[in-house]
Amino acid sequence: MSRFFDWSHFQWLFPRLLEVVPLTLFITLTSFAVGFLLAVFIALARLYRIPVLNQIAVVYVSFMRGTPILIQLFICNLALPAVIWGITGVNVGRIWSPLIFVIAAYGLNAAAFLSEDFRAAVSGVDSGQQEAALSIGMTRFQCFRYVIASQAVRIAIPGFSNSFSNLLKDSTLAFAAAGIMDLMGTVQAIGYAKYRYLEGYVGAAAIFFALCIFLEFGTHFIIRRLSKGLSAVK
Amino acid sequence: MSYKKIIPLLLAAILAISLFSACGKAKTGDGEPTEVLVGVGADFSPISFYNDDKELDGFEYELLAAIDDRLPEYTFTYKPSDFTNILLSLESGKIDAAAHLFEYNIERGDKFLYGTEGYIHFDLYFVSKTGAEINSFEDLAGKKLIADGNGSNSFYIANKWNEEHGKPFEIIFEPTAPILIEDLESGVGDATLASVSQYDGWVREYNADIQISDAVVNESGTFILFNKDTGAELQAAFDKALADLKTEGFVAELSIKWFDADVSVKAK
Amino acid sequence: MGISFDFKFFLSEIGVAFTYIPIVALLTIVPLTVGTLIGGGLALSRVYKLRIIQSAARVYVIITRSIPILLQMLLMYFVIKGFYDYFGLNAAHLNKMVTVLISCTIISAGFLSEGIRAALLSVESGQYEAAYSVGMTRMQSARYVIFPQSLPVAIPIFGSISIGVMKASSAAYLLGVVELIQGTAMKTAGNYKYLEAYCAAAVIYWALTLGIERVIAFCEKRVRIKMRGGVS
Repeated sequence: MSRFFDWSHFQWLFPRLLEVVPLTLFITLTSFAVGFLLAVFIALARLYRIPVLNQIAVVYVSFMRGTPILIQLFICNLALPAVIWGITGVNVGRIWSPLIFVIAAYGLNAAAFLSEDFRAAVSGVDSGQQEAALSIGMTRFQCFRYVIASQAVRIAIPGFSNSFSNLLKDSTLAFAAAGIMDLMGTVQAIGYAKYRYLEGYVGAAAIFFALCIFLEFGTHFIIRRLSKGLSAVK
Repeated sequence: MSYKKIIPLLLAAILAISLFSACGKAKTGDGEPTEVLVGVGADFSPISFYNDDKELDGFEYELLAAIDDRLPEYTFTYKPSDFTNILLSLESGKIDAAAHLFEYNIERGDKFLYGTEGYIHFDLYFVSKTGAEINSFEDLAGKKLIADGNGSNSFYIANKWNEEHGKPFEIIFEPTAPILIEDLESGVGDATLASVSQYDGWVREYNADIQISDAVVNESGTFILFNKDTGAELQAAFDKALADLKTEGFVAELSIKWFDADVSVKAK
Repeated sequence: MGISFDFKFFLSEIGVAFTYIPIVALLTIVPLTVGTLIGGGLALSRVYKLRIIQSAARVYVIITRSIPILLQMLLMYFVIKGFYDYFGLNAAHLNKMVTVLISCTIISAGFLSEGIRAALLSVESGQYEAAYSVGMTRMQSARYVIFPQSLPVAIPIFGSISIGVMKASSAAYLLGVVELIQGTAMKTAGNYKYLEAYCAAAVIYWALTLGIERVIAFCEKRVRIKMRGGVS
C-alpha cells in the first residue's frame, strides 16, 4: 500500500500544486459572480411568476441542474464557439482562451443552483411579512428590497456557501473538458507523466480542504452575525 | 465621481483587460508565417507531457517541432489537452492539426483527414501476473481483461476482437492506474494491454508483481490528423516534411531516444 | 462550418443510456437513504449541541464537503484497502460496487447533514422554547414541533442534494464500476462521436432529474397547505 505513496515525490509536487491554486480560485470566483447575478433574475422571475420568464426559467434551471456538469462544459466549449462562428463569422474558438468558455459554462450552471437557493430562502420567510409590508403601502418591489431580502439572506447563507463550495469542487473537471491546467489538471498531468498518482490526489485534497475550512469559518461567522437574537437552539 | 464608484469600475476594467489578454494573437500579415494550432496531449508520458520545468516535452512534441522547422511558411502554437478534447477541437475548427498517437480505423477515417505518413508503431503487450499464460486473445477465454478507459486504443482493439469472436472474455474497466495494478496482482482482473514503457513505469514505481508477455498485439502506425474539410493543404505540407524526416533517419533517432528502440515506420 | 451531429447515433445512444438507469438508481437511493439517517443524526447533534458528537460531526461534515467528490472516491479506495490490509483480508473480496456505495454514502451524509441543519435553524427559536415550556423532551420537540416546520426549507434543499448525489454517481467509474456516462461512451472508442454520446447521457439524466423534481414539487405543495411562507 505504501508503495503508492512516495513522500519525497510529494514534497517535490506540493509547491507546484500551490502555484496553480490562484488560477483555480479565479475560475471559481468569476463563475460564482456571473452565476450570482444571473440567479437573482431567475429567482425573481420564478418567485413572482412573471409570465413568460417563469417558464423559461423553469426549463433552464431544470436543464442546468439535471445534466452533469461535464457535459455542460463540453457543450459550452465546443458548441458555443461554433454558434458564435455561425452568427458573426469569427472563429473565436481559436482566439479566445478556453477559460472564457469554461467560466461561462460554470457561471450558467451556478446560476441555476443559486436561483433555487434564493427561492428556498424566500419561501422560508413568513408570508405575513409581505402582507404587512403591502398593507402599509409598499410596492412589491419595495417590500422585497426592504423587508424580505434581508430576512431571506440569513436563511440563504448556508445554501450559498454550499453552492460556492460545489463550484470550487466542480472546477476539478475543467481539465478533462477543456485542458485547463488548473489544480486538478496539474495533478493529472504530472501523475501520468511520472506514473505517480496518489501523492497528487492527497496534495490536492489537502488544498481543497484548507480552502473550504476558510469558507466554513467565514460562513459560520456571517451566520452568527446575522442570527443574533433569532433562531438556533438550546 | 465618488470613490465608491471608481473602485468597482477599476476592478471591472482590470478583470476585462485580464480576460482579453488571455486571447492569443492570431494576426498574420502577408509574408508572415501562418499560425497553425496543433493539439497535443498533456498527460501522455513519454509522448507528450509537461516536464519538470513546466514545458511541453516528449517524443511527439519534438517531432512536431522538427516539422515546424521544415515549414517556414507555418508556425506552430501548441494546445495541449486530453485525448477526447483534442479530437473534438479538431472537428470544430479550434485547432488545425492533432497528434496523440492516433491510429487508423474506419470510423475515424470518416471523420478526420489522416496524414499519409505514419511515424511510429506502438506495440501493445499483454501484462498479467504470471506473463507466461497469457500471450494472445485466445488465452483470455473465460478471463477478465482490464481496460483503462473508453478512449484508449487497447479497449478498442480488445473489444473489436472480442465481438468478432463471440465474446469469449470479459472486459472490465479501471481507469485509475494504482487500482489497476492492485487488480492485476490480486486477481480481480487477469490481464491488461500495455506498452513497454507503461510496463516499465509500473514496475519501477510500484514494484508491481506483474509480467509482460512476449507476444505483441500489433496495430497500424500512428498518424497526424487534420480537419476533414479544410486540412488538405496543411496535410500535404506535413506529409512532405515528415517523409523527409523519415528518410533522413530523424524519426528513428527520436524513437531510440525516447523508447530505447526504433519503432518508427520506415520511409517508403 | 461547425460540428457534425449524427442524430441516429444519438438516438441509439439514448437507448443504451436507458439500460443504465438501474445502476444510477442504486448509486443514488442507497447513499441518500443511509446518508439521511447518518446526516440527520449529525445535524440534530449539532443543532441540539450534544457536546462530544457535535465536534466529531463538524469535522466529518467539513471533510466530506470540502474535498471534491472525484478525489474523495479515489482516496476512499485506498482507505478501505488500508482497512482490509490491516485486518488481513484478501483484496479480491473487495467488491467494487460495495466500495463505491460506501464512498458515496459517506460523502452524501456530509451534504445532507448540512442541508438538514440549515432547515432546522430556519425554525424560530421561540418554537423550541415553547416546546420545552410545555414539558416536551428534546426528542419530542424535535419530532412534533421542529421537524414539520423545517420542511418548507428542507424539501427544496433535499431535492437539490439528491440531484447532486445522482450526478456524483458518475464518479463511480474511477473505481471500476461502469455507470451511465461511461457506459454510454463505450461505443465512441471507435467512432469518436463523443458529443452525441454525452448528449444522450445528458438526456437520460435530465429525465431522471425531472422525475425527482416532480416528487419534490408535490411534497412542497403538500407542506405549503400547513405552512404559509414566501412571497407571491
